[in-house]
Amino acid sequence: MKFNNFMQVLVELVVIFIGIFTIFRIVKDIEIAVGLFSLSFGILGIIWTTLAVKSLSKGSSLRTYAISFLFCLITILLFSIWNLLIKLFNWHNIMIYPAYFFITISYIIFVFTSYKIHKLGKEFGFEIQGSRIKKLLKKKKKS
Amino acid sequence: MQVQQRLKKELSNLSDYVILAKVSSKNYQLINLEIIRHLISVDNIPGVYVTLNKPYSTLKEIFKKEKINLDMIIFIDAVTQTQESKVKKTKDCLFIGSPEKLSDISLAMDQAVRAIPSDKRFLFFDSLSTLLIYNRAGTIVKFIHFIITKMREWKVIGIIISLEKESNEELIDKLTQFCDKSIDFG
Repeated sequence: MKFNNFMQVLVELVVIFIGIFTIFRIVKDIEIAVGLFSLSFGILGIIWTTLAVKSLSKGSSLRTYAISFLFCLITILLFSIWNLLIKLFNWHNIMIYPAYFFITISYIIFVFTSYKIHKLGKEFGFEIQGSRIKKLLKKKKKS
Repeated sequence: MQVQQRLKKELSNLSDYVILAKVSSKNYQLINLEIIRHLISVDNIPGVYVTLNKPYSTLKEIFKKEKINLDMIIFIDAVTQTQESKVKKTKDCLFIGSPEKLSDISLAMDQAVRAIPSDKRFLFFDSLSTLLIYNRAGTIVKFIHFIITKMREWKVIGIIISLEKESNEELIDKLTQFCDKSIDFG
């Protein structure tokens, strides 16, 4: 079982390496190649987050957080796509502004998502109860 | 007292175990109380009580009346309706808002169990039968299997209560194979 897992990770790493190598081999421009490389990871992130949203219970806090995170990824991806288009077509002036818009929106959603995780931590954290039990157990041990 | 003796006899050679406790609706409250009393007052083990059956306010009253130390328990209440079914936290209990929110219940259990600073801990799940009202049998089998796997990972004493008759027999059979023991308290 462990050997199989190791082989799976190894094969995945080789595939990723071949993918990166191919991108950099076909696309000569480093900036565009890096853009394409980041895009592929962004898409993978979106796929995984979508799968997580689908499997989490409707209305659950974790699902709401996953949805917010999905929006962050989408806006970041849009920013990367737009940046890539700017590079590919040598856009100037007004065509650059949507990139600013996408990055601003992603930061706003990031703040919202961070607030969600902060709330989640507050709701699902049991630090106070844990220390209460610790004190009680100590007291019982002494007596 | 009979329940206490039965528990001692059945569980004396097990350290971290997961049991499926089958109880009749007539004895439900008594058995629950005796198991909790055995864990807290006799064995001095702190733990997590997940209730899908009785609201925390009712349980609190019952436990107080029976002189069970509430400070040794972290309560997770998935039955009390909260505003817009949202998660609500008080200093004594975490209200999930709905028994359908299995993701939130799992997350809360994970956090609560890990917060208890003791080698010996328990997780009391009350009850399987209530889950059946709100979720499909297939979903429940997956959920309970997940919980039992987690219980073993957390190294806790796991007790899953199931009301006799009200639970699907096929489901009980499936779940019994995941547990270390199935005790019929009648």
